Amino acid sequence: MEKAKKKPASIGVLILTLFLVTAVMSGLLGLVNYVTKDRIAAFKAESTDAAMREVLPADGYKQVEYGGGDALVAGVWEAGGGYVVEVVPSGFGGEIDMMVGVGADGRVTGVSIVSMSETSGLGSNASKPEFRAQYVGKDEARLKKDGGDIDALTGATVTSRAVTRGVNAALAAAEYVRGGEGK
Amino acid sequence: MSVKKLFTDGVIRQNPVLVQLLGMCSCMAITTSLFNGVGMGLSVMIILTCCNIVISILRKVIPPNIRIAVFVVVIAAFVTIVDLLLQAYIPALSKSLGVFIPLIVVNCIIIGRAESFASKNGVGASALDGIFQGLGYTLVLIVMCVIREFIGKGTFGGGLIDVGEAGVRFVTDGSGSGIRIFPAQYGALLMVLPFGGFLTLGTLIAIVQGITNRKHNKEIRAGKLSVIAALDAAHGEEGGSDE
Repeated sequence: MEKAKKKPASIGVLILTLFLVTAVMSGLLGLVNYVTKDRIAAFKAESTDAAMREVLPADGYKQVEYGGGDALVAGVWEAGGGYVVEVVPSGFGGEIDMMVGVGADGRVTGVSIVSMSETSGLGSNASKPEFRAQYVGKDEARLKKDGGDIDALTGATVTSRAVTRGVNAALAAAEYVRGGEGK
Repeated sequence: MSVKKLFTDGVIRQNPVLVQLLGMCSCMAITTSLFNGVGMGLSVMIILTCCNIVISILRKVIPPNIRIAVFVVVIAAFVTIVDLLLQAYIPALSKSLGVFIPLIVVNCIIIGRAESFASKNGVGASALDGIFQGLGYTLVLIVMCVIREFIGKGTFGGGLIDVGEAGVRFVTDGSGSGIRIFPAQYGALLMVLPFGGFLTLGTLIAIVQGITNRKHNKEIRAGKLSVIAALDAAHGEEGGSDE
């Protein structure tokens, strides 16, 4: 190699080269971040909003305090008598971020997955409407395998259990918040 | 270095996955639907080409003892750029590929080509090398996706092709159902699991190696060539094309 014949570069040259390369690349990253950040933030807000609208249609959503201490619950919103609860149960590949709508009668009005990293093609099927629709109208969710009436996803029992756990946590959280208001 | 040689090297003779055995992790992890395969392949191709160009431009000014550090900075920057762009413009793909986009940083194909090609060749050749090696990777992903999706789920083109009331059409949001070839319940689920990825990749490597080495294999069977001599010869050829 021709480079080997040159005498080794001094520490100053090494530092300067690395500094320059890092500076230029950081500048480039900053630029791309500047161009894309509004779009990414807008998309995230839009998908959260769309998820809430999907599980429980309402005119507006007002975040309410949740002091129930369940670590699965990430946020509770009051929406026209019912509640939308964001829960983050752990699935097969990390946390599943999902929205659960709970109607005024304490039953599930809808389930929507905001983001997850479940196995593509298996656990990721949890976002399919056929699976999510099974939870609608329930006041307690349980898989068939565990003695309930919800069909688990093929080859993804861990994911199905996680979603079920999330739905139950959301129901409990909505109940808790409702109880707190009554007092 | 001719364009044709760079092309055949990238796609077959020095295919990054099947011959150099690089980037196998992502290959097995994401090849469950055509949508993932095409998206991942194109992302890697873009990143690889950009990195090759930058590293080739810088090759004379990078002191050899810190070259790896510089490569990593350049690669990480381009991966993050592509990641941000995907999140902003193709969010469905970004969601579907998840952690495998950031993980391109540690994909050996990119640092491997930077070290063995871009740091030793001109800008034009390095750019072509990036495109063709990326193409080789993409083709392997596509073949694996098609095989795994077909045997595992009985569909073709999942995520990318939608068959609905509107007829057959292409979609870019990953919602396509794919063309159903046989009913889903007959699919061999294990082909969609990571295990199926190992099976598919192993079979593909064996087939391609068998075809590209058929001359040597014939001589070995005829007793004209010892296995060790054949390995030496094959190794010599590869080494010759690299250095």
